[in-house]
Amino acid sequence: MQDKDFDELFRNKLGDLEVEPSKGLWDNITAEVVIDKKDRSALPFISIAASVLVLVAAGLFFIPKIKPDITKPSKLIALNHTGGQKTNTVVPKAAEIKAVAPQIQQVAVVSLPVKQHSVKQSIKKQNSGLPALNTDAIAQQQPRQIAPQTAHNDVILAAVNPDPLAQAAITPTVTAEVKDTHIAALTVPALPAQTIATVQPKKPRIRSFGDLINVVVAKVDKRKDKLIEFSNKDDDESLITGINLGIIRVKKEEVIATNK
Amino acid sequence: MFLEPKITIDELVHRCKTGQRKAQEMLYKRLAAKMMGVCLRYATDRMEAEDMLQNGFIRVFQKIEDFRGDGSFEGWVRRIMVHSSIEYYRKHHRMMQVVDIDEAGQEPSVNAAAASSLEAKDLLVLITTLSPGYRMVFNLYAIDGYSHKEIAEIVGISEGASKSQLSRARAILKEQILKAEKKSYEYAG
Repeated sequence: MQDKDFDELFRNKLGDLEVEPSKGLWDNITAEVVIDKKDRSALPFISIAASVLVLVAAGLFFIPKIKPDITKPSKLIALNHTGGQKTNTVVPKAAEIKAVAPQIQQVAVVSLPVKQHSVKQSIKKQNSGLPALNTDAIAQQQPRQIAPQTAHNDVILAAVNPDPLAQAAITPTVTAEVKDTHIAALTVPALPAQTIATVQPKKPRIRSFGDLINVVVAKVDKRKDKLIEFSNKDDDESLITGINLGIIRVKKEEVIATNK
Repeated sequence: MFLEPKITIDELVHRCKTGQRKAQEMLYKRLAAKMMGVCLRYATDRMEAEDMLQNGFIRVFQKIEDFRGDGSFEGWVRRIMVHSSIEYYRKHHRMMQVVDIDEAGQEPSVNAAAASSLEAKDLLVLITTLSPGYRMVFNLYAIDGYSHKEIAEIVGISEGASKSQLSRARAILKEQILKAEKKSYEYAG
């Protein structure tokens, strides 16, 4: 038998051979194929769009915060140093803070909670080991520097060393200012002037990470009991005080302490 | 499927491209048996054949966008099935083994009539008993119509090796047929 014929024999008999495969085979195939189809769906695009929207919303949210803060530190310092030889340094101080503020924005600051702690601690500790941006102007006084104690020593707000009485007043407010400026610096570099009009005078101060979450959630969730609620009575801690998922509602009772 | 107007394969392909799962299933049902036949020739056993079939169809649906409609869809699927089978084999076995158990000096001669009387299932058994290397080459050349050049590429051997392995494959198959013939004579007699 010739090779050609031999091949043909096999080809004729086996070429169109049909055998039914097992029943479950199609299920195995769909398992792989369906997953594949999903990859081509619009899901990635939607996620990206959603993320962008969240970022933009967060940014827009923070814009109103910036403008009022920069003017405040200078005002405060002016208030605390009326008369005396210190006045001439106040104005440059204010200008410097203004100058410093834009610098804050250039720096990429990442972790907010850490900064809150470190700013407060540095105020308390009066750490003078950090490099000063404007030592020239305040060489006469003892510079007390308020600075975030990060690894990079990014931002420095120099405050003139006030007398003890004013110190108590200035400390908490400057703390707040620094933190507010911090938060502002985190997000938006541009400072549109017209946003001041939109800022409500009684906007609550954001003192902790939990507070930040509270404000963001409050913007979206208009219910009495928010989706998630953090305690805002303590600056250092952010504890969850309430969760409202419709089905599940949990809220920590407010304990009113009375001093006796 | 009852006696409803049959949807053409081309129509099914078009629907599959738009991701219609029902069309995918229908296409599979239309072609599964034929492709199983292809895989059975290349595999060592039924289980292996089903793995090859599975991989083949997964590849078909993954690449269905690439099918432009030039040529028959069945032919396109067949090629994918063949490639999938060989790929599976290369992954799961060592290099295509060619074991020569019988050193047949002369090419055995087979009675054409006797050979023709063999049924498909008998021939399938014969092919399965071949060593993997011979089996691949014989299938590719004799049944699926690939050239030695194409075989060399797919299998990963030289053209010369392809030719010699084909000769050996034929020789071995003929021996097996002769043996089977003898047995049947003995049985009948």
